[in-house]
Amino acid sequence: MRTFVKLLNFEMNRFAKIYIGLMVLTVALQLAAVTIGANHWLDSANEAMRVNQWTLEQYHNVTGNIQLNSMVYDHYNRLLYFGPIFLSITVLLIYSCFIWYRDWRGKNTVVYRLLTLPSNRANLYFAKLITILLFAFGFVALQIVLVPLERLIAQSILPAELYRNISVFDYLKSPTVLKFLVPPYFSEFVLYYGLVITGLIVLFTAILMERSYRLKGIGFIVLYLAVLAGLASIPYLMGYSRYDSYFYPGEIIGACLGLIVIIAGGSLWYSLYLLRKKISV
Amino acid sequence: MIQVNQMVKNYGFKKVLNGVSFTAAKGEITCLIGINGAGKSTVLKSIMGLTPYKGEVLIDNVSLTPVMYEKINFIPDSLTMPSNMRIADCLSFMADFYRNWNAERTKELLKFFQLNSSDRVSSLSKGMAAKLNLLLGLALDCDYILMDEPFSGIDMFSREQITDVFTSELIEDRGVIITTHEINDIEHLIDKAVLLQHGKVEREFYCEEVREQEGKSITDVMREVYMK
Amino acid sequence: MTEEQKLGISFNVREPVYIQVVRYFKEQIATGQIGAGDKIPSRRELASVMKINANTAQKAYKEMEEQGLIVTEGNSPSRITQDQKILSSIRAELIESAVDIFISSIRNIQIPVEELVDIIKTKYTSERKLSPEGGDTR
Repeated sequence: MRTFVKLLNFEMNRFAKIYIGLMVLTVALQLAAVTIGANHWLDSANEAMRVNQWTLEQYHNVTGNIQLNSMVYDHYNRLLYFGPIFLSITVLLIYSCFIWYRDWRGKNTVVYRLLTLPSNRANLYFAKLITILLFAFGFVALQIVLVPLERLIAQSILPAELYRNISVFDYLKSPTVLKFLVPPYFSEFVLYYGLVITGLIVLFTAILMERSYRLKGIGFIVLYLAVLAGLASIPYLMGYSRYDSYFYPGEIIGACLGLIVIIAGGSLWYSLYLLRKKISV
Repeated sequence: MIQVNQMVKNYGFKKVLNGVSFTAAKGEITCLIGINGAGKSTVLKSIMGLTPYKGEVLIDNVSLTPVMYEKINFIPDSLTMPSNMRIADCLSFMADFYRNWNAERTKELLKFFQLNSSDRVSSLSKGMAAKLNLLLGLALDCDYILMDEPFSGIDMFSREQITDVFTSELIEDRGVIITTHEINDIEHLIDKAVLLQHGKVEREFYCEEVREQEGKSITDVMREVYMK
Repeated sequence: MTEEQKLGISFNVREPVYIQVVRYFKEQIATGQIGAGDKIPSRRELASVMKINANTAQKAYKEMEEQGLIVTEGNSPSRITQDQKILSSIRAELIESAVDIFISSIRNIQIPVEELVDIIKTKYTSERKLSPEGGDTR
């Protein structure tokens, strides 16, 4: 346990600089996006009122309430707001691979040191897995914290007659990518991030297969992915999206969950086996 | 004692090791000799569990388990720490993970090798990097040390310093296996020589015995074996 | 042993190292650089000072003990023997082996013994004047 925590600390420190950079970028760009969006609304409201000789109340009768969601639907605000999110996801995905390959990189063979530490190699695996997950959840937490802040900014720029606050909950339900990344419902959170964890385990398994079998491993990886694809198609065969399927929806969901557990568990067991017995520097 | 029995190792379709067997006793310096590509590094890596192999390796009559990494330490010819770490960070890393890390000896070794603990690993010359590598292995209170080409590409002065390690109390009572293809500097320091060729052990002998009984140096034997 | 005496030994790799170490001590005794009863370094110190490995130092020690060159009493450091018989036999041994080597290298030249002895006498006395220490280190 002690070793695991130390390894976790080690792995997290190696990525900390990039991570903090991404977080700072996200905060800066999202706050900028909301500021620009709110100001844009203000400008167009003032313009409309000037052209039509409306009062604030008349404008409000015509356009209705403005909420936080509206701030980020405008033009390139979208890029400013969602850009850092996609960037962070991409970087994290790339690092999920790189977290392994960097140990083999260059003239420093850190992997020799890590593989010959006097503790179970599973610690190594979980340290890397949990690092990625912690960073991902860190982003999620950051986003949740940013929403009230963004609301505050919009509120301070727009006049009270036009602006209405939206709950964080409802904001996260609106049809943006945030619906999937920061799901407001607990059951959705478990499902989506269960899939993410499973996907990560599958990725790690493929990486370890390549590191164990190298070129020969490509064939094994294809086989592995084919098996996974077969398993993943079971819910569809059971009539996942059909009305007239033989199975009840509850049963299909149960099958999905069961499959996730089997795929994640089986892959986990296999990658730990590879790390213990088959990995080759 | 480290016993290697019939070790077989393939890299793809190439059979690098084809039944390698030898022993390396504690308190002795055993040298694996062979031309480049003979499989010397592969033998060490296999003993350390860094690559799979067929055959048997026993360390004090037991197969390798993770706990035993406190007993047996590997010093490869490349640095095993991330480049952006300072030497001090590397040392605290080792202290964190190994219970038998000897902090006293670390200080002595830093002085002996003239290494500065605030230097970054990336800024070290090849000679200094090799010495740091050695330090990381020697500061552990372990029974066996495996060194892969400790002298390759090292400047003369660093080489002398490293050679001094073999005659000092740092090595005493430990079993050392070193691989090299160049034994000139250390020929008189080796207890046992194991000559590898074509994936097998061609000759395994105690150097002083061969000197006494055959009047040959290790280099003479190497010439016999490799120039056939 | 002084600093200069510690270093500067390059070993012949065709001959057992421990025998060369023993021979070195014999020479030191014969040339008076080490006296009877002097302390010698421990096995560990010997290894580090002569730059040999611990097992070689161990072997050399054992050989010297067996030949009666050194004596170890209990836990005190080993000392050179004070037995005059052994000490003079060392001297004799070294002289004889040097002479043997000389004779085998000169024999092919087929020089009469009297002429040889004269040459030796002349050379030896003149060289003795030049190097008052009189030690002939190999």
